[in-house]
Amino acid sequence: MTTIIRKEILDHVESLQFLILLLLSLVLFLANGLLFADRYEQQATWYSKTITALREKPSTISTELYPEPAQLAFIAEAGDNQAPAGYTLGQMGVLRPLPTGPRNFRLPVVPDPDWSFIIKVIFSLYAILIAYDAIAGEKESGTLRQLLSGPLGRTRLLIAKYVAVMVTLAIPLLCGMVVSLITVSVSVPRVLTPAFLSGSILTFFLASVYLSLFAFLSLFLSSLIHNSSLVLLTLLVVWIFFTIIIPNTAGILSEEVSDIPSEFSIAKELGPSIQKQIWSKIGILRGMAEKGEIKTEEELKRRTDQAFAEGQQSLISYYDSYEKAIRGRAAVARTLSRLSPTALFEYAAEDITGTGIHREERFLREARAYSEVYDRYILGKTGKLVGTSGWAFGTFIDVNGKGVFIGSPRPEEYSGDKSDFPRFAERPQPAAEGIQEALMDSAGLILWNVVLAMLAFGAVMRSDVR
Amino acid sequence: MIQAIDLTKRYEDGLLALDHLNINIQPGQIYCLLGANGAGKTTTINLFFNFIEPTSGKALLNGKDCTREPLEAKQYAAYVSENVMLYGNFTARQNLDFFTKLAGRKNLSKEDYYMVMRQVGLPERAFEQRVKTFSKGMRQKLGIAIAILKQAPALLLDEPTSGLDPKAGAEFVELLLRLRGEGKAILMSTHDIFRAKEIADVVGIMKEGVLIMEKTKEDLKYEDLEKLYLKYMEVS
Amino acid sequence: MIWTIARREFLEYLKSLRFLIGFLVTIALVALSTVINVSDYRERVSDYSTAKKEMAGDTYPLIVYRPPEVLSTLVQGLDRTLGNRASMTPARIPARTSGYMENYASQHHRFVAGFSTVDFAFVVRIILSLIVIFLAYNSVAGEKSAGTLRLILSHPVPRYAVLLGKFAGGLMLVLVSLFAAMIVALLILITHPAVTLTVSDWIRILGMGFVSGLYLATIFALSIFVSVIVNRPSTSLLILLQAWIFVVVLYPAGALIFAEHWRALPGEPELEDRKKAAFQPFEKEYEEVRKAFGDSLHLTGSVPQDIDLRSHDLDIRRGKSDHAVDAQLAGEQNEQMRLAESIAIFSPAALYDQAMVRLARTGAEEFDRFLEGIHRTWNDYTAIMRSFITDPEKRKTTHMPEFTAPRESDEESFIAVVPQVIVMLFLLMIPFMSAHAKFNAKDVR
Repeated sequence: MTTIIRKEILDHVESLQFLILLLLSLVLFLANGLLFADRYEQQATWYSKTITALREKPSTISTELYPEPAQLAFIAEAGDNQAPAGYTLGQMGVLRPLPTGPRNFRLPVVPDPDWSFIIKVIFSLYAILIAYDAIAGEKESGTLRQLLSGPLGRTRLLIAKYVAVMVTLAIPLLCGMVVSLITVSVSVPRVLTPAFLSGSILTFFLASVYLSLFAFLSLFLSSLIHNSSLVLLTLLVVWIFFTIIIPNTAGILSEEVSDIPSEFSIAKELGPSIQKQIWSKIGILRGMAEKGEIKTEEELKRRTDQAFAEGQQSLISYYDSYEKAIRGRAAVARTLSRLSPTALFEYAAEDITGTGIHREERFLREARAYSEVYDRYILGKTGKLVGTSGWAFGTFIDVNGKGVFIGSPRPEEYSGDKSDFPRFAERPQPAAEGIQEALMDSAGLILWNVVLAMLAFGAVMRSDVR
Repeated sequence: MIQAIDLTKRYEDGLLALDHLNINIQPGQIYCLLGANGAGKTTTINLFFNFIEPTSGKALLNGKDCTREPLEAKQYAAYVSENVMLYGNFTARQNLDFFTKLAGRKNLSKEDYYMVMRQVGLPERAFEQRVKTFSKGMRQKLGIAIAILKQAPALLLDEPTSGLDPKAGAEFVELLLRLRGEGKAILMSTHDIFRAKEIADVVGIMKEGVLIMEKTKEDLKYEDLEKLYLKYMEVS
Repeated sequence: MIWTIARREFLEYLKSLRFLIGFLVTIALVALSTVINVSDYRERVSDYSTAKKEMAGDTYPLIVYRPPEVLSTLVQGLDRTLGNRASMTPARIPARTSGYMENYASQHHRFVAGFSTVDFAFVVRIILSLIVIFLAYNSVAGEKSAGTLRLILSHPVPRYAVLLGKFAGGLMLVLVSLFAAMIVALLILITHPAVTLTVSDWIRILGMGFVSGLYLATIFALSIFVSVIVNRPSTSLLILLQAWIFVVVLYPAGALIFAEHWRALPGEPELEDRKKAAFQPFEKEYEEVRKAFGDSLHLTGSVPQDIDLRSHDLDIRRGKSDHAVDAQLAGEQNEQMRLAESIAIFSPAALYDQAMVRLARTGAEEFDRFLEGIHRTWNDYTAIMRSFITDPEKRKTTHMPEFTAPRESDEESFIAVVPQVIVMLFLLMIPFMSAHAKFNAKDVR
């Protein structure tokens, strides 16, 4: 069997496809390494500058929280470049995203050449281009009968071909990954951590599982269909569905399926409606003061502050429900897209590298936890907590015949010693957690492999060799 | 009608496929070109249709140079290849219609096509059947039908009987004889000595690009073609 | 003669399974994406109209709304990601739009970032181009290997006629499919109550149809060329696929990434620094006037006219100075965009995209036009606000300037698209001529 494997590998390696794949792989992975190193440097510099400036001027009115630049973003960037650069945290857990970085909004969005893209698009295509005529091509040239008349059974022949295809794909993949790793660690040496290496190795295994299913698919169709051009065509149609059609259709379908209030209706609620609510409450309080039901200035102030706080709560809950709805829609899109193994691979890679949606969710959880620490600190130092919505009210109300100025409460800046200001530190994701998250999607990929392998073996056993 | 004058073809890789071939076929004549695989028979026919260009010499059809005036020359000859390839997804009649229009004849009715297909012996049910279901013999017949409808005075066939069962082969020969009777000049390349002996007016034997022997029917009456063939085909 | 060959070619493709599948997938995707894009458009338009009515009214800041572009239902471009609201004060000329919630702008696209926008242009650029390749890859190579080419050439048909006939026949089918897809999309548009198409829109739609056809013809010519020079159909398909990945995916993306990284653009902090530096000469005076403004308001409850005027004028100065910095950034951003476009010039997919976005008015040029309109409105606005200070009576009678979004005229758009069309014609002619030359010279063994 090793002779056949060796011959097959030689065959593939001499083909034009292999050469082009090798070249493409080296170029793309090199570009990936250079781009990532450059971007990471920029981000890291900006991050440390911003954090230093922040630490020099801690404030009890609001603070800013920034995620650390992701080290493994070169494997799976996962749209993090479009995520907010950070968040402002006000008192009482008001968390708002900061605008994103200096991305030129005039340019169309392109997929980043991260490892995930290179593997899921380029390598999967080449898996097909290399493996499609494994059986059908031999049938056409008549050599299949020669092969089968030898000592090798049909099963072993299929295994031999499978192994050959995988080895042929592994060579450019490994070369490319090594090139990328070297480029990155040469430019940004401090990135070389155990997490970095383990992430890369895990991604390699994940990639193998992903590409393996394309190998099985190609072998299956190659055994089933006798005309190699037709095999190629069919495989390509499947590839287009997996990599292009299913993911993008999932995106647009999710818009229809999930019901998100329009940004505008939220804005309507946030602005005028809540203001109206608060004004009407103030109006009631004014009436009560005029009737004499409220006797003291303190009580009036307390109750207006409370009215304001209630309005704040509505505000926060509207923001939150909108955020939730958006994330819900993204989740729907992702679920729908899981029909395609390409999506499974992408999501598993994101989980392993700790980027993407899960990362942002994790960050927000930690931000919320931190906001409780922050609030406690402020309460200790200033004695009160005020949420801010960015608008203010001010009016005069008569209490006991005297006009009292009632204004919206303001968060107070503590002017004393802030050397014990709580620091926000993002807990790095333990590798085990990432693997756990990736488990479901990886299992899906393995399932695809199993099913396609069975189909391939079935087809090889039953196909006529005329 | 069909004339080759010192026709020579050397391919880019140096192979001398045809070496100064001289042939002259008159209307009402069947010329059989015998030879082993690679002797130059197919190359000869390819040169007449300008599928390839000669290194030197001339191929003429009705006096027209096939290389200098290919479009004119092609009007005078019809081609039937060894394995008549047609458009599988189309019916026999549609194929016939397509190639006849290419030959320059328009406005033929369905009946006209049916008549020719009957003439060549195609079964009625096959007329509107897709060609991909046809056997080799049927495709061969359709090839002849195309050639007939072209109404060209010359007919060049490349190994037309190879792979045909005896019955189909016999039907084919009958057709050829009929066409000869109509005054067509026919050049046919073949391995089949027996057929050649049966129908040829002139027999030519080719070996490694050279026409080593040419005998008329008269000559052959007194000689054993098989013996001649084997003698000249001896590896020297 | 040419017609006979073209007709047969057309029918052959029509009968093939791959055409049927490709055609159905195209129609399904076009229908689905257009329906969804139209419903999204409807929502944006209704939000826009309601916002204009209900949420206007303030004078400080003055809010201006950007209308959604109707042709974004076919070519999304930037239309969805750019917000619809811009607010201006005498001290601030807006350089960006935001969502209706101020800075909480247009966030809803973020989480579907992994999924690219699917619109009509996407289906043509990606799906239809692949279908063209799938149909045309064995146009000549297949006939060669099947042997029918020899039979054709044994007839008195000139070789150029054969090639032309094949090209015409295949192209006819491609254009018919494109036409069908367009009809489907247009039907969805015109039957929807929220969509009104003006004559100008229809002219542009025609232009988009033409550009789409030109793009597909270019891909088709390339496929025919490869089919001519290669003998085996499967080799032809292999080459074309790899060419497709390069020309449609890698090359345009590479051009963009290169342009983005060639020169890094300044970020927010640097922009702020630049603005501060630009206004520096007036900073001291500004502080003085502000103090005087605040003091007199506190003491007397009102502000004397001269201080009010000086404050206003300084605000205007700040607005202009900041705007200059913003304009410089916009210039740099546009330069980056043009660099990307020039590098990608040999990709018909990139050219196609540029032309479609321009015709649909959903690109950066249209947005810049909008910003210019805002600038003009700001000039009127500040003049009016100034007159309120000098002549308080005017507050009762004068209205805020109406904002009408200036739009690129049809002529200008079509002229702007001419370079892309010319290059695409070149990219069409070159493979076609080469195919021609090769086909005439080749032996048919």
